[in-house]
Amino acid sequence: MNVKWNAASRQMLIAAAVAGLCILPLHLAQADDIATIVITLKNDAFTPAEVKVAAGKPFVLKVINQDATAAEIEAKDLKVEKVVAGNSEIVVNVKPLTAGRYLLVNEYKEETVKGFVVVE
Amino acid sequence: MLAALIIVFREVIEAGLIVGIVAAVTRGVAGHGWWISGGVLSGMAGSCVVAAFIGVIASAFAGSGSELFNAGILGVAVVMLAWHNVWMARHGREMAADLKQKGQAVASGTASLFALALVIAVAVLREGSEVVLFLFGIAVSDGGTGRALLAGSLAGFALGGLVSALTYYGLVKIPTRYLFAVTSALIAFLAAGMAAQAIAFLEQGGIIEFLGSTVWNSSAILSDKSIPGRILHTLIGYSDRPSQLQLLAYIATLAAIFLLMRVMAPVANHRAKPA
Repeated sequence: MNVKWNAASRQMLIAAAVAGLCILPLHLAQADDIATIVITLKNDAFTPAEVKVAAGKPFVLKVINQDATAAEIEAKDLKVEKVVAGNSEIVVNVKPLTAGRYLLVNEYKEETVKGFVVVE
Repeated sequence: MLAALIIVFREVIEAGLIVGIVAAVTRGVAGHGWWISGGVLSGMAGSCVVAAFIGVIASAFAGSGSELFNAGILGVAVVMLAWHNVWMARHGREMAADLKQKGQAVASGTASLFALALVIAVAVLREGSEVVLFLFGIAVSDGGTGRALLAGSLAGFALGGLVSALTYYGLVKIPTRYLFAVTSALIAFLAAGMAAQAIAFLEQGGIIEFLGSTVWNSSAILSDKSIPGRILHTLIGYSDRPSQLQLLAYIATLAAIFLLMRVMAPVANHRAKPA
């Protein structure tokens, strides 16, 4: 029983170690050909209110907040959730998306501050 | 007002669940209330600091500062939860035997109280800074609507507290002899969910760019942004669109914790004397 368990535990340890190693080679660099989409937040409105991106390609979303208060930029379908301080900007990496019209909101005022990312 | 209530409640629900679980896990340990309060208060203080410097944090590391920060503190919580479980596997039984004679529940020692207080602080800190920024936005807006929003926010906090209380009283109803097994499993799943969430942050920050394909999409059935989705997200790490690496991190964390618990457990039928 003990021997059997040890063998199993060794295998699991190795699996865990491999999983740990996978996370090590982090790289901050981004490929140059990734498009950057810029959206500006001013007076509680996104400009442009609708941006277009190509389907199946990753992109960088840049949100420039020109309002004085912070906003939490959220797009559920883009897996984006990030706070942008007042008079500040953020960038987020978005994975390739399938065609569709995806909602983007300031979560603090999600009923009124809306934008769309149109993937086609 | 209702909007503010929902926003605040959504943010505090995770911390609320974690506080309830830790309170139940540490029940019977002298001074556990102080450790829990200390965790919550230091998390709140930290939230204000993070909120004040959110612009600096966000622009650090080529714009990936927030993601690295979130992933980092989640990593701390994962290690603390794992350490607590392993420590309990090593010492829990002898403590339980000792405490049961005094009619007390299974409890963890002061040694791992610090680890759990840190987990609470981190949970409060993470979502807390978002609440602080939201409240700050209300404070600078005009009076009339601001007051209604503030009332809604307070109600949101109260609901978060209610979640803690319900979690605590639900857990302490479990018979003592099962409590250790239940809380160990809860904590392991909590940690695994946090590990997967840390990966999600690293992916959003563009720091990790492999094994990123979505494994499944269950957002139509249960969105992880809905209240039930958030509860499941906290408790078992539910994600409606996990990436391959998230799933891998989840499984690896669970496996590592249960494995370490088995390896570190004292040999059966060899009861050590309580220290």
